[in-house]
Amino acid sequence: MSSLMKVVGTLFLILITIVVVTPFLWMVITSLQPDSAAVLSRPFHIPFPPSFSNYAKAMLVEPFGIYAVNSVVTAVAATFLQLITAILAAYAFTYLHFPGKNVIFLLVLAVLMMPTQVAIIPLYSIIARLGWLDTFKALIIPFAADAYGIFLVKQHFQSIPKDYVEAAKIEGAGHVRIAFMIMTHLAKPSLIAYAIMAFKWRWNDYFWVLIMTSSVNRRTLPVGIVMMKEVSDGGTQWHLLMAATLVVLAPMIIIYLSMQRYFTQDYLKGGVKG
Amino acid sequence: MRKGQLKKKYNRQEVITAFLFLLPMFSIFIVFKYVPLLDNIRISFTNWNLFSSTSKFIGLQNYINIFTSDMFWQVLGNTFFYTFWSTIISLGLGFLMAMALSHRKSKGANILRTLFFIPNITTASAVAILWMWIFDPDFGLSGQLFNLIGWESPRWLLTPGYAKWIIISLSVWRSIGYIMLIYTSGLSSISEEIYEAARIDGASTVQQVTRITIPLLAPTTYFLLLTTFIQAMQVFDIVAVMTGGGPYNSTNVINLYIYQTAFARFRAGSAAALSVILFLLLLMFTIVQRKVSQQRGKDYV
Repeated sequence: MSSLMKVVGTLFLILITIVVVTPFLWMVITSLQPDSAAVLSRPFHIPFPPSFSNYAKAMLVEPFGIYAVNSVVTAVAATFLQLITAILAAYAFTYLHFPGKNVIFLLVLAVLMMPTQVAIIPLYSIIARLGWLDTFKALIIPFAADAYGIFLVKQHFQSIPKDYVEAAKIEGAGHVRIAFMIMTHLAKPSLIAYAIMAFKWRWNDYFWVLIMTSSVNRRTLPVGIVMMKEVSDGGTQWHLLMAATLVVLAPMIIIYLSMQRYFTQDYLKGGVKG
Repeated sequence: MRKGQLKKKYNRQEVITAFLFLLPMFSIFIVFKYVPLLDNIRISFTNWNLFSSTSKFIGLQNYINIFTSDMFWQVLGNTFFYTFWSTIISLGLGFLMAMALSHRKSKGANILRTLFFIPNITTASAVAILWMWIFDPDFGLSGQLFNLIGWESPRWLLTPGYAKWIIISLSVWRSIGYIMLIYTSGLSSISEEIYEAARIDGASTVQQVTRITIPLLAPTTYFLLLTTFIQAMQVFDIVAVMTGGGPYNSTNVINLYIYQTAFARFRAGSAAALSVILFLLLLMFTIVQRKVSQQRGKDYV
């Protein structure tokens, strides 16, 4: 590439970096201000000493702590169940012979074309009839299986030589043991990658939680943070709200930075949802 | 190699195991995917109000009401406006970012790739609140910056002409990193020899991009175009949080309209009909995507 193009490219990258970073910086600076008055009077002034205590304060503002616990519990539970159902189904599709396999797999692929939003009214009535409105069950069980996960895990299982399974069978291992001990071990990277994605979908979900829960004790962070903003309207405590926003965003950012090698493009290609 | 065995009857034990292995997944899909989708079509032909135990079959009345209401066409127009512009801008910027970073193997370039992807994993509703604070005309970043030059900041989210672009800007901010990443992997699959040959033939840098890079990236572009488009059609969180569809419905989109119709106005029948329309639109684009992917022989999901 010519040197002129290189200069233009560098300038462009600087511009994009500013656009990407500024919102985060603005959030962090605001979240470190000592009080609302400082937020309004000297907003660009990086506060010294920075008020890290805002993060603790935000967590203590009722009921932010409850939202955080609910988020962790529901996201971890749904991710765990999704992994189990995906391993079981992928194993059956890859290694077991049964009638109607192709048709059944097509039914799984069809689910990929059915986003939750397009059937939210009957879903609401089903959850209501089950008596699950405003319970953790409503936030976990419907997400205990995911077509995309089954598809991904199946693809990875297919790439593992069948000899492993045959050898295990000869050794006398049952299907459950092969699926959960041997296959899980061999497919570890893709299972971790998928688990991160599943966790992200649940951690970031707003729509479903908004509709299926109504009490403070069942709401999760994405809905909770919006409630926090609405409640305080008029006299928004921006320094606390930004501290809370940072607390909501931090876990996924930490997971991403520490497990970046699992964010390979193969997995990302299907990961546009959520 | 297992052909002979396949011809034989199935092993009973194995079929039972397969059934048990597929049961958890299928129970979930039946209750929370297949049944709701079909039930939604039934509800769309009724005047159900979300709570009553009875509802009346009213045929196509909900659909007639929708197609004759100005509101629906406005909301559909808004949805396509948002979808079109956020897709085009994200793809354009993502492509340029991938191009600008290609051939740069320094540590700095890797840090930038990592950094640019971070917005993609953020919680939409939380960054929507951050966006409101940035564009707050009184004390937010916008208010402060305009204050510095002695002007008054526009009321971004209360002005119909601006509000939709603020929403699009957040969508673009969240998606460019993802698009850059997919384009980066597309770029890395183009062999350096092709460029070498073009240079020997005297092709300029611009010609190399327009004649080689862009055509060879076409499958990636089709994939990104359609998936981003389908994704954007379903936008809800950022609009619901930032504007709630306002001002004057100028930012109302179809998913939010469905939500309002069902859960604020309790017209579940009408909302179900809107959902059917959205589903058919999404299905249409998904089928196009599959067709294109198959023709191009790509293994995209």
